[in-house]
Amino acid sequence: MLHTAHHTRWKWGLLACFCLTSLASLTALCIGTVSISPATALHALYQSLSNALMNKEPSALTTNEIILFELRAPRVLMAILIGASLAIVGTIFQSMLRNPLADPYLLGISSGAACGAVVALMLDWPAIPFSAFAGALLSAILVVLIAHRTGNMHTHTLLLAGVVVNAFLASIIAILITFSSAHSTQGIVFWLMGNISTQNITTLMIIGSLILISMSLLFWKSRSLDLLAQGEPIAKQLGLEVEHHKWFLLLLTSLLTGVAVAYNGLIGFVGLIVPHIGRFLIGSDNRLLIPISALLGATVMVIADTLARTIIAPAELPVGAITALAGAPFFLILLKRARHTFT
Amino acid sequence: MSSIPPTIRVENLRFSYDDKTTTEGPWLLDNLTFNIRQGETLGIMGPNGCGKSTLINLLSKVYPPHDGQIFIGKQPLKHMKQIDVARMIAVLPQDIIMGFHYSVKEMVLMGRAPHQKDWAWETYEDYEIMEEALELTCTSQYANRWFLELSGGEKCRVLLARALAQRPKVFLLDEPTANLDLEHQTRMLDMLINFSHRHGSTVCIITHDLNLVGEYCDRGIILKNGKVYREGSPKEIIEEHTISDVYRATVHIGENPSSGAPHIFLKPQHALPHTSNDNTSDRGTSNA
Repeated sequence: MLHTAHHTRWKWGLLACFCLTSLASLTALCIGTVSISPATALHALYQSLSNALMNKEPSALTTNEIILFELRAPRVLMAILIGASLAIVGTIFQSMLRNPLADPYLLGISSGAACGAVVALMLDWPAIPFSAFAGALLSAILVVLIAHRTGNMHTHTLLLAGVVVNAFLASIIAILITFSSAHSTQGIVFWLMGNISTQNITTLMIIGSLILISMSLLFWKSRSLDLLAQGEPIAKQLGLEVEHHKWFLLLLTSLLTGVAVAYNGLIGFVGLIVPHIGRFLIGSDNRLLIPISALLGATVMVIADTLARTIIAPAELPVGAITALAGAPFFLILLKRARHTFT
Repeated sequence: MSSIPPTIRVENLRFSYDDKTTTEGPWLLDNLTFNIRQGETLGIMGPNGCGKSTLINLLSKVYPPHDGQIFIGKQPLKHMKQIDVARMIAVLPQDIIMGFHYSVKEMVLMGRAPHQKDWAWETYEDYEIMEEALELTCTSQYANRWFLELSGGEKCRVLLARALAQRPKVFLLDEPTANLDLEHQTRMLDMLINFSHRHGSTVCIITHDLNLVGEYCDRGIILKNGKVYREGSPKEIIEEHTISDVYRATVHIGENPSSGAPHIFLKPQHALPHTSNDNTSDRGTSNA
């Protein structure tokens, strides 16, 4: 029926994407130098979950369980969180700047976060994620100001601004790295290339709750993105407090980008591609697009990370290289389409 | 008519896009004062660049005026929340530039945004209002198409449907007929006037089309140099020397035989060998 079409579509779409994410995660848990059968993995997951719920003393872990719970699961969990964050940030920037080519990586917001993180590393501050957040926020404000000055629809101007911001921040990072010791240089360079890092469970819990809270807030305000996509004057005429919402969105997207970059370096193109896949599947309505993008982003990141650690196993490729490899051609297609539609 | 309380009161409004404008000016809108009365159909006219569209943006709180006050009912606009303004005033923009595909239905449903909570799907009632709006604007047949793929006139009608779905007290229409064909010009305006009578809402049309004001409006305002130049019933203000002062165009004013409304006939220069340009501009400055 016509009136319920919206609701049904959103339930089924969400369910399908959730299944996809779960399937990808399960596969990622099973694949690796040691392969584990899905049945074993599921059984182990069920066992540990029921142990935790019943407050039972966990029995000694088998080798498979150690691989599952201490190596793969934290990494898959991180990939899910980071993929979802980057995809949501991309969706929000595209709607907010009314530009289908907006992406935190291409606009230099990730570089801003990286720059903040490197500064914190150099000065031995423990608060690397906060420094990354500040860097992301500063560069996001810069990008929004540039977009505002040049008129929002000038796709190419905005991208050029992104190139400039990126180049500027890259040079700052390069200078900072030059002053660091040889040992940390290697670490920083590897981190910058983009890798899903394995963190202990406490860190994961903190990151996870931070990301989930920001996501739910963004999800709750997702209707405002549809109005912002109409242009700021029209958004105001439809009742949106545009300035408040822009600050709200900038703060939360910077937080998500900052956390993602601080732990995993620069991972590009996920924020660009995933929202477009989402729009292709379910349309532009952001109330639906935001959760779908989050799930699709998680799926894409889990797959990319699994590829990164298995292609040349036991060595690892940076996951940033995998996403860029897949993303760059896609970007070209979008650029070509954007020339037809937007100029 | 004057005993009816004004829906919108504009007092000594001043605005300029140039941040460096001093109190001396130049102002785009300079000491503008007028009322929009409850239930009337008001036409606001003026030459290109006289600040008509800016006025719409000021009335809908897109940006604040430099000076002066706007009152919606008894409340000053600057103290109203954006969402309360949107519940009172719906704007029909001239054009909309968008990067993403929204269906016609989705576009019209956005008109319900000021009546919705933060994260909520449209209710049954919202859908009914949307469908009524689509029917009134003859856009039901495009309901599932992408907005961006429609023609200019079709887009205009969809945006009008969105304004209707907003259920405001006041409609502010920016050049509503610029993209519409003859059939839809009359149909849309008849429908709108009918709709506003039924719902007791006020219509304010901003336009170049003086004939439209003559035909549909109860009252007209002509702007010149950021001020109200003439105000009154269409018959009073649409007259030859006013038009030549404001638009520097020589016209002949006749009467529409079917409605008796004033109607403008252009006198193109090539058809007027005896009228020189100097003559009209002299008269324009002496009366200003």
